[in-house]
Amino acid sequence: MAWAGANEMKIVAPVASVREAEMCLHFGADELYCGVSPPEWEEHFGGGWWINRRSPQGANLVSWPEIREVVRLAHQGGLPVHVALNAPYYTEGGIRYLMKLAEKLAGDLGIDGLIVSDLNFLLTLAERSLPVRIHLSSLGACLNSRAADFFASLGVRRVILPRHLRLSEIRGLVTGARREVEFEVFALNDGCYFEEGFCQTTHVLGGPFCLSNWQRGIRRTERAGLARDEVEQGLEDLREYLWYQNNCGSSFQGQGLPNGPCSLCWFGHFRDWGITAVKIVGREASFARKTASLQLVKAIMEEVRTGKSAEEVARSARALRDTPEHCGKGYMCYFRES
Amino acid sequence: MEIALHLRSPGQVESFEGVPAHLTALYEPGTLSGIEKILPLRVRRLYAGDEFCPNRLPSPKELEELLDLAASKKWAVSLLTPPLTDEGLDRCLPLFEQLRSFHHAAEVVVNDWGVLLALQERVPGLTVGIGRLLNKGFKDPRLQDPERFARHSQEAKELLNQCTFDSPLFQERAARLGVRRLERDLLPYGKPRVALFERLGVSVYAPFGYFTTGRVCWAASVHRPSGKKFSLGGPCDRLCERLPLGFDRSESGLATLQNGNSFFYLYPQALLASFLRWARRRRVRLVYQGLAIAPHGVGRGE
Repeated sequence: MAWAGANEMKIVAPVASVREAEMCLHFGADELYCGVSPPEWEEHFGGGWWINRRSPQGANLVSWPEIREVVRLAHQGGLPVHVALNAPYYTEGGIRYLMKLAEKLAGDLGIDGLIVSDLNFLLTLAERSLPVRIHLSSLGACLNSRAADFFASLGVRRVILPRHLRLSEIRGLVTGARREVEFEVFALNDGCYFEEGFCQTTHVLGGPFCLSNWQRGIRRTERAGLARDEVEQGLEDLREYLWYQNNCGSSFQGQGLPNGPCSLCWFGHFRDWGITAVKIVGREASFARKTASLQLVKAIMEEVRTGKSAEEVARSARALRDTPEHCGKGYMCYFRES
Repeated sequence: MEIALHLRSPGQVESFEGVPAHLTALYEPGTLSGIEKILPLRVRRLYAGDEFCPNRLPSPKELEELLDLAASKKWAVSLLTPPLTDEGLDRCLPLFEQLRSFHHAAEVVVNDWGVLLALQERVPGLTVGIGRLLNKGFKDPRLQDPERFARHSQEAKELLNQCTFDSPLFQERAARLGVRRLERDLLPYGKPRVALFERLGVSVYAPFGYFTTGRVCWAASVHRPSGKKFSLGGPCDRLCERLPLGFDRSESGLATLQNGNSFFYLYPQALLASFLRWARRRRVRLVYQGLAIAPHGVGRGE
């Protein structure tokens, strides 16, 4: 399908229900992405291994009619729909099932793209040439321009960059890639302490490992090398940093805009460097958070599209957020410099 | 079985004779098929570098010292490399050149597809292995009852026993890319045997498997000023190399530990002993990382 505003930087928004798709169309998303979790998957794995990075409950579309309706609505509004099949790893049996699912999604259901991270799944898709775009998930951990070239050689049309890159590294990566490939970056929500692409834990087992009580080992460091107050301060800093990564305790600022990791200040740079799309993270987020997130991103994107300078966009983003205490801290920024 | 030893500095070779004591501090004496006795005698290869953090790569001088050590011992050399940004890759290229001048067939272990491409393009000729960060599988230490999990279905059982490198599709692609070796951990809930391949060598790291890592590092942040903590690429005083390590006990009973920006599980005794019995007469390389990851030994946790 022909997409609206083909040359403009796009907003990619998450949906986990038909109602959310309607909301995204209303508030001006340019692309939708979702997860699907058909009941057969759970029959095979017993709920112990999710079909993608997020929980089947609340973060995924779980019935065929629901998926079909989201795609219909999106296409009616001129928006493509991308489906995340981005668990960090699939077994060979899992990939056989996923290929059937991908064929159904691409054929009968008419989705536009698959978001993939597992290399063996990617290699299998590359052999088949399904009528869908392939996007590399942030879990693909593409950290340099030559890696982008590698993934492009496997048929990847868009690389979604991981959270843990500096702004200058993004610029180098985007401008250094030799093959034709699009780039997407995270705009808002859901930080992560570890590099998702190299994290071999699963959120199935009691939530994200990074938000569990893994700091126990640090306390013992006071036994050698560090003074007690250094350890205590270090732990306090870490707790604070993790609070920011966890969307500031899933909070909102006074006017109802969501707190949490963001890259709004950098949107002008992203436009200038040729980034194709910015992603609102959080398929599992509440309807209210998804709505407010889209409104916030859309407001800044409008500034970007009117041609304001990167510096003006950054000023607007901070003013709109109106949380100088958080923005000044730095922990809420994706892609900050050292 | 070929045995390789991962060292961070030539000085660690003095600890080399302490390897048996190091191992018996982690495991009950006499339970590892005598590996603690044969390990120091059979080392044929030195591993340098680091697969998790660019700040732990050797400086050119440090690498030179390690290469001198390897030459004096008549050991072959492998250089571990972490995932790298473009900038990090540029900084790493001189190390590759240095390695090639040491021996034209020296080995580099890559944990990043871009590093593989850059290496082949800019420093051709070096032997290349793919490292364990590119080998995905189920490693979460919080799985409470693996046996119950595996009983659910054949697929669930496969999940605990398979990894990226086991796929013929992957092996074919790796071979086509000029890769000569695949390097992996033992999966914490998997079988002690690993798949061997006709065209690709196989290495297994011991005694720790890794389960998560990232570019953000608590240890690197401790001495940074407020506002600069938990940022990427800033100065690092390598505090991680001086800190003592302690085990925690996960929900599954696995002993886990943190070192710098990475988390590891200690192979259960039965898993490692069984692997060693199986591997002894097979074409497998054992990479002993005890000295590199836990140079001062490991204390028992709370």
